[in-house]
Amino acid sequence: MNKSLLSLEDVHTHVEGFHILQGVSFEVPENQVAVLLGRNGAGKSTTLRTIMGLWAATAGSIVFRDQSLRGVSTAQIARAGIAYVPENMGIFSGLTVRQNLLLATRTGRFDTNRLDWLFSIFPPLHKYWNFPAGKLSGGQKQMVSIGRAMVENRSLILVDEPTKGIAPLLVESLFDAFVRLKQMNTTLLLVEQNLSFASELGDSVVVMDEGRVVHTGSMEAFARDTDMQSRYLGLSFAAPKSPAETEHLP
Amino acid sequence: MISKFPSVQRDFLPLLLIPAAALLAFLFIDSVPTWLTLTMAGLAMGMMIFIIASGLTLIFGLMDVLNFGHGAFIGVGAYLALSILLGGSGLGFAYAGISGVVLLYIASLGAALVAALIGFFFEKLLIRRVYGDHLKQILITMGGAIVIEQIMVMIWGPYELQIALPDVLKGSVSLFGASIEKFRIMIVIQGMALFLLMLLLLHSTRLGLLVRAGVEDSEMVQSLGFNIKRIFIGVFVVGSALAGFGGAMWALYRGTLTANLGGELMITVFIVIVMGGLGSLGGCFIAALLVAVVSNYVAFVTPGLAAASAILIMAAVLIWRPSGLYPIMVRK
Repeated sequence: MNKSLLSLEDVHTHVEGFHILQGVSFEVPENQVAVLLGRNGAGKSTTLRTIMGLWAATAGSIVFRDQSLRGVSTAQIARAGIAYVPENMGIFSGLTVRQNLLLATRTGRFDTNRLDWLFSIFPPLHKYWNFPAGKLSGGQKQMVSIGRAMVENRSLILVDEPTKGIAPLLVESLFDAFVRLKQMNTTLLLVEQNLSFASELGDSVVVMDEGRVVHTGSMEAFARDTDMQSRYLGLSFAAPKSPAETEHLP
Repeated sequence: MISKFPSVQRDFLPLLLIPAAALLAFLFIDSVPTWLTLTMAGLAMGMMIFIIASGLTLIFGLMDVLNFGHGAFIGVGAYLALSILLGGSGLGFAYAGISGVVLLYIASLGAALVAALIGFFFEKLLIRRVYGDHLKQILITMGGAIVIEQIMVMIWGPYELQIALPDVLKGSVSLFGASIEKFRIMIVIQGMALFLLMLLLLHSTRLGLLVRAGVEDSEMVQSLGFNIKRIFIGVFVVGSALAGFGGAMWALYRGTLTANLGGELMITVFIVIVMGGLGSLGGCFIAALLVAVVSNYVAFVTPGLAAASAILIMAAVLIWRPSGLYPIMVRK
């Protein structure tokens, strides 16, 4: 097991009076892809927002590289080396693709080698470089959003449902991007509903339900265990049953 | 090599509203000189409203803060400009010729600087405590404005004061038979220059990009590692300075000033920022000019409708574009 880069211990988060996270504990090992799974409303996005400091944890500890993130501002958390790709992508629509990416650099300058590498993964970023990001398609916007997290080296990238509503062809391109990041030993914490995407990419899995962690372990073992999948997620990686089989189900 | 493909379709329709209004008014106003005088007066007034409203629209866009205290900075700017002008004259600076114009700008910029300083403390003492709560923002900023207005009454008295232009800016020039005041021409040129400068700053500097990005999605700006509160204070201070500068110009335009000078303008200012699209500088610019020129035309053609014209234009614009002329896509 790799050394843990991020660890959450008994984290509670209240949002507008609702007790959303009710004692979340898990670890994200360094240089690996951890996948956060769970039904809708399980608290996955809230967990990412709490790590980023966008919602304050009301109890528990969040430690990133031996540094506590509780009570630390979002800007400082980002500067500590954590990038965040929100579910809504957080694109600045009125700004061009170039300007969106420029704001993700620390110095206000691009590393041209890194940029070429990024263009090789996401060619549309190059094609639409001076185009307002708001006019791009959903998949292209996602590329801008993930590209912002990749334009410079970050220790940990939090990604919230990158494949949601994205055309299958573009999903492949996103998959390729995450594989490349993985090859560069970037640690990823991924919230993902697309199970095949998650199982191919993930090293470890954290399953959440009703604001709590109900299972942690290796993705490989979880992908094999269809019982656990249906118990925690209500579905499984296995191929759908044929109509003849489903007829007789209670 | 970065490709520029494909090209972007820009939205110029709102920009056509001002010439369209001017053309329409031309049909109702029989005389070219009258039409020209009204148009120029409207443009000058619009430029001043834009200077005052520009800061307010960015303040709202960036942090969702409703600042009803903005009007107080207009009054502060006007009174301070008067005091600096009087102080300058007392020290023997001639308020005539080019030195008069220099003194006028020293007074207006000095007023803007003090308004900026007051804005800084206004944000620290009052607004910071009510982030995210519109009702409290309205109450506390209105309260703050009343306090500042009463302090102005204590310092400068409750009576209307006179403020004069330097000799070189008095009078008018003749253009196509119309007599156009020199000061109005100066204000239009100055307003255009300020608008272009703001556009340049917002589009080509990193700080400007951050302000635009923050207006759209302040959470994402923070998630990229920027302290949005620091950016907001900067915008608030610049917005207060612009209100002070605009207030000085407004008082010079009117020739008189009272502590309530800013309060009287605020309804028009709010109409302009809503009409332009909250947080949109370009929208604010077009809306300010449109409201001012149309009010001028209406006041001449049907004086009875003059007071209602701004509201009617806003209603028409919002029926056409419910989020304003240039809506900002906001995801807070």
